Amino acid sequence: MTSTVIMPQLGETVAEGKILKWFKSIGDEIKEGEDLFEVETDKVTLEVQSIVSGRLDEIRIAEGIVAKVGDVVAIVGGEAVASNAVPADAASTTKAPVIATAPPRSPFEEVATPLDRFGSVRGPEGVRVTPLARRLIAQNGLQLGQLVAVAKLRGREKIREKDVRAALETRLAAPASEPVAVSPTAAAAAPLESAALPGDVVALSAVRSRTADRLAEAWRTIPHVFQAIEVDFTAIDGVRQTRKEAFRTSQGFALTFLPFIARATCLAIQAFPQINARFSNNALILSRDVNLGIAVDLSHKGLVVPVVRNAGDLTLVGLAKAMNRQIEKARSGTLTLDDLSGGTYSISNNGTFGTAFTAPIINAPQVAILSTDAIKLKPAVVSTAQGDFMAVRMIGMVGQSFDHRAFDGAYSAAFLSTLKRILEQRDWADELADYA
Amino acid sequence: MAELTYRDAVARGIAQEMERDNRVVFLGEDIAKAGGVFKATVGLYEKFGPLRVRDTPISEQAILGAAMGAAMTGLRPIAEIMFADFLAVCFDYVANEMSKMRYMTNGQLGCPLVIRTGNGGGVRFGAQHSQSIENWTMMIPGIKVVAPSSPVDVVGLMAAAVRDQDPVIFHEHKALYAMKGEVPDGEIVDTLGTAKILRAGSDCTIVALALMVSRALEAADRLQREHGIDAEVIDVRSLVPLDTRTILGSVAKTGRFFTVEENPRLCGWGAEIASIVADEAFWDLDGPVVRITTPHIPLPAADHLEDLALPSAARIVDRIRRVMNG
Repeated sequence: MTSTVIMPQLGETVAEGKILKWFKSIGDEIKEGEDLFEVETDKVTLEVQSIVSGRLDEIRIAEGIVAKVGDVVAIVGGEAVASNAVPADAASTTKAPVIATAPPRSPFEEVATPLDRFGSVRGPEGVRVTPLARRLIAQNGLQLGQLVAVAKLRGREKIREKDVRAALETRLAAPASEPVAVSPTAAAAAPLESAALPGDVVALSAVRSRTADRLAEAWRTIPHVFQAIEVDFTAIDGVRQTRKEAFRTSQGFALTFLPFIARATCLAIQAFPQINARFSNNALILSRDVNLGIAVDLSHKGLVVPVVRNAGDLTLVGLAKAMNRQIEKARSGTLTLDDLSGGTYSISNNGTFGTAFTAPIINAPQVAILSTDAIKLKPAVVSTAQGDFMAVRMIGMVGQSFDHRAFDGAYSAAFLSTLKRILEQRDWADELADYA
Repeated sequence: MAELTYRDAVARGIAQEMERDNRVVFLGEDIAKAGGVFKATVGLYEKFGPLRVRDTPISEQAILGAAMGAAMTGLRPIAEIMFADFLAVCFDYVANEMSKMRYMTNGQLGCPLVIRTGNGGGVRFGAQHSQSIENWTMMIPGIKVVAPSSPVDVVGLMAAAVRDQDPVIFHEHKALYAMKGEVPDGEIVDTLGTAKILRAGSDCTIVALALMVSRALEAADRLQREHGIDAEVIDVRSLVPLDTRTILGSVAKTGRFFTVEENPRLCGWGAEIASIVADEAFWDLDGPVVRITTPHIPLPAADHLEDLALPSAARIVDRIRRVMNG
């Protein structure tokens, strides 16, 4: 039996009182008539005695806090309760005891309905999903579509806990965020196209599925145009070659072409602000800052685009460091939501595998994305005052996909042309003077 | 430790409390000299005398009226209503008077009394002497309701009921009076509002009460043995207060929930628990909540019809197996 201790009525016109001091601590034994707490009103200060015996289980109102008359200020538990005490549970004799640690509920809230929502019982293709299965799917980041595909493959119309557990086990058995391979059982007899063809069902990881949804949406809604321009990286390569050892020693990571391209992009955007914008409700919203997204491949297990904020304000070395930091975070899986949001323009770098050019999909609601591919030695015509001649140069393609709703091809081409000029003609050695 | 029958445990529990507190008195029809029509109170009259153990006229209203007055004026009475069906005769005292006394007097008066009554069927007493009426009693604000399923629980819950500050209805099951069980020596005091997990399991939760507890346990053994279904069995024991923590904790573990109820289906006690589970544990449920009950019929007196009406272990097994495999 527990009893509540309330703020007593301290006078006809007194509505509240401030507890100045508790004479007992939680866990103390209290006898009926003992001083329990001291209370101050605007008129008096007085000691309040306990009308019950027992153990002080809980102090609801701490010293220095004002409580209204009738408010529960403490809970007294224990066997020895005077018969005239108001038992805490007298009013709730018909009430189900709820979780003991939960605060007391109002009589109108005897049942605590959870506020979480984990989706509808009706899944795709008429498959039904039990509440527990839905919760487990949501909490474990599984894709309902994959479970539905597996269920259909097995000729079942319902997804239950065990189906989700099975998918989870398959996922645990595979390396983290690897696509989940689910083999259909030999008995699978659903007349589905996927079942009719031999082969494994590769369920998508959560990262992969999110990427898929977003890319499909962008591809479906944005009129993409792709342009590419050939850039001579020989000058940059020269600077890079002479400074790279000093850079690595000083910074601890390699100096690649990517920071040069990023820096040149930021410079070019100054002259072409519509490149660095969002397309929204048939309006182009120009961004003051350049927040540069860098597409990072997670060893074929997914794609993330961490953002380097205020990239336009950074020097070449500053950009290199910021990009390296974000790429490392992406690879170690420590990116936060902040790192992944707010991008205004993106760069996709596919150079590692020797491709000539890539037409990337725009990272909506951005309006353009730059792609760079292999930069390698190629025969090229070089024009000089002495005339044109063939030379071996470091050549790479720099391309851009843009949203044709935002601007036209000439604008994009002019941007690429400016970018090319900056890459080829800027005094990069000056930006790397510290590493001479 | 001694082996006692359920009926012996009733007398033992009452005696324990009468010895402890001489405010505890006991009254009812044929409970004193005759030792009760179910022989559940044998020896109390001899031990505590005619002042504290009193036979009454055949008037349920008189019994509860006297008990209520005694409780309001300082005694701790235990009153027997021989057949639980007869609570209907004196329901005004239960529903309107003793359950509302503390509230109506702003706590100046309480009704610390116990109504013990022979509840339930299975003993061929017909439609007016066999009903499981625990659901009638649990719906009244201001009344606590317990229904023990074993001799040791009878003793412990009797003590808890007598010591409670408010009216408690103590449903003894007529078909369990001959049941035997180990009861420890010395004073036993249990706690109202606590359910007991009698069999741990991982696949589904079965809650049962009184006579249905042993049937649920038997069903759980067969489900395990014959169908590989590992059922957890909870003896609810106390309908008011209700130990929702134990029940919801079990559902969180198993994801499936079944009630086994002897009361007729409509508004049975399991409906209330099913409602709480569907509400609070919705996201733990992996299938529908299923109630296994007596149908909504007057209970037949004929042996085979009464057996057919009450949930049997076979019916419990069959229902759970089909639902779990479906």
